[in-house]
Amino acid sequence: MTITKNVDHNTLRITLEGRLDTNTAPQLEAELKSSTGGISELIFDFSGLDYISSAGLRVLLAAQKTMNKQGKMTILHVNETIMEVFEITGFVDILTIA
Amino acid sequence: MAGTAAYRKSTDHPDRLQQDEAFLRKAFHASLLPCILSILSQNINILADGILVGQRIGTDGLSAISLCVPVYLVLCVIGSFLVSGTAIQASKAIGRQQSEKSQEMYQTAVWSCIAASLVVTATGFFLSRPLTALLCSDPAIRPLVWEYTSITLIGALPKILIYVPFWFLRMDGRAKMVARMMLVMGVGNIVLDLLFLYPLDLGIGGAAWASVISTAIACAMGFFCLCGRDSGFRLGRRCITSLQDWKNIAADGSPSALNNIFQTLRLLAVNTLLMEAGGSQLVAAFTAVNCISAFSLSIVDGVPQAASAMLGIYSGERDNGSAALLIRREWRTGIWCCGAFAAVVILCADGIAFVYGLPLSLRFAMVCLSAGMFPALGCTILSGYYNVSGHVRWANTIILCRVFLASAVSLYAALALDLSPWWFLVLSELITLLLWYAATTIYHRHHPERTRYLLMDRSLEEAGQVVNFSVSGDTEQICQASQKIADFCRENQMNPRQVMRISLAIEEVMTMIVQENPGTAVRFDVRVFSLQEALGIRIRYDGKAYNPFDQRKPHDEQYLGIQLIADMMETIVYQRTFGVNTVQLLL
Repeated sequence: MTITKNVDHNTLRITLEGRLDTNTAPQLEAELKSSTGGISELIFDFSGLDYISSAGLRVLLAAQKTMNKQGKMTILHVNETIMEVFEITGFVDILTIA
Repeated sequence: MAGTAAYRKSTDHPDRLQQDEAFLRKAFHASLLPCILSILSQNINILADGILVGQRIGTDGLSAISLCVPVYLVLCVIGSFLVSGTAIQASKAIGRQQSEKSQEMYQTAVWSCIAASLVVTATGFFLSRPLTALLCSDPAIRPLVWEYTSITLIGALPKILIYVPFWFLRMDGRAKMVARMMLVMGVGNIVLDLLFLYPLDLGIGGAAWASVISTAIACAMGFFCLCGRDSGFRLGRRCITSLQDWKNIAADGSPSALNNIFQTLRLLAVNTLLMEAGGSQLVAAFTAVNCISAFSLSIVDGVPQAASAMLGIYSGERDNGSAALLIRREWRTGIWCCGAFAAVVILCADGIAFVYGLPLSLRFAMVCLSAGMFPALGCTILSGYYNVSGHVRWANTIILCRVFLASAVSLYAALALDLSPWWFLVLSELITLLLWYAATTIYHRHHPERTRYLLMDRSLEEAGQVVNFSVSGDTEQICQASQKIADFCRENQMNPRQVMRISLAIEEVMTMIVQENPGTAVRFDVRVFSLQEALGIRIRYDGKAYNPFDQRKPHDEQYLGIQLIADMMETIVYQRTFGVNTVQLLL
């Protein structure tokens, strides 16, 4: 999975490409831990993301809980198959998806 | 070494998913030793029984037991016919995810054995005098024959019923329990023989009761296990009634029954030919050779027996890749076992002759017997596979040829050509394999859609509708497999939703199973299929008995992935058979 970070003032934009699975989720988790300090807006761009599993969902959930205290989190350009995962798991009600 | 890959183009694309034999090798080897020990303990029991009766009662007692063999044979034929037929049908039903049908087959096995034993006992009692007269023409030992036969017929129920735990416990993955059962039967028979023949001095009747009681105890042990909480089989009152089902049972049970019948015919034919050629000395030598040959069956028959439950399930699933890998493994393991056995019997040939009090050397006989084990193993592996895969006529023909026809013909030819008679031990097996080779050549010309030797229908694999692959219990390997399967899915015109579901199922289910087996190197065999009537995935795994969908808690984060899969799938079926777990998910 490729993670591209872009920081603009207090906004952190993370673009993911590839698969967010059990293998790659720790990589994203580590990036978030090191990058979300002092950030008031976190944006995920899923335009290049093909696949997400429960390991990835847990990382998103943890990020959402953190950003609930600091500001807000948004997920952009979610494809149909990943949207279905969000719907089935109820994450569509927890996350802000644009 | 990588096994057969059912996924086409695997040789062109080394990064494609492939199946290896690591998983099924482990399951096969777990079953192998108990199967070998079961047959060995049975033969040791027969040997010890003969020695004790001969020592205590004398040649009259031994003759009486020998004359009663046809009665014992009838019980073996009935038991093996009914139970092997129902057991093979049950394993195929498991492979087709028809668990209720497999339960019905188990219950049919039990009730049909009970009914058959009651009929045999009643008929035998009613006709005991004429039966004894038929078995024994010598009035001096006829009372002994009558006594032994009557008690054997009273004990028909355990002698027939014991086949049920023998087959179904192995299918349940408890081959070790079968070995313990056979050990109890063997040791129990010897202990009771000593008790009944010596302190209680019950004569030939005591020997018969020892056999019946020890079999009954072993049978009870087996059923206690089969009726336990952990058993995959449930006792009930159902019995199949469909004529087609009974025809299938008869077909699947026929090779086992015919094997018993042809073994006896072979014995009669060989004894007759050897008596004519070399008199009682040659027949006596054959008695010793035949005894060692019976021990060799622990490998020649034990190897295919260890694989039979798995092959039945693979056959029901039309999983040709796994079946082919398993057959190759049977052969590779079997030849090592044959080699070890051959080394021992050849080295001990002189000792065997000495123990039997034979004046002639048995070395050449043992060399022939040992050399014959290798083609014999090939024949039994083939007939075992053909039996469970629906090619019953092929199985029966191989059995008829190697056990009786080729044996009698090659012995006759050896004697006629003034060669050593022991050549028949090798030639009968080689002739059978040659005839099989010729027959499959002709068959393949008329049925090119079938594979050359195993006659498999690979239409699903050729059409790319199924793929088999193996995955080790390692997160990286699991995620890679989850990614790679997407290629197969797209080639089978699955839509993106379906591709995602299959990929997710592989990752979520396997990851959960690995987490539940900490410190254990779990292995997975996976089959993904895209058929007209079904689209899904079958995951088979070792490790402890565990159904990942059984204990999920809906709001627990740990089970998020499993809950996701449960919500995505149309049907989820879990089974535990031959000691391994299987989860099948249908979209």
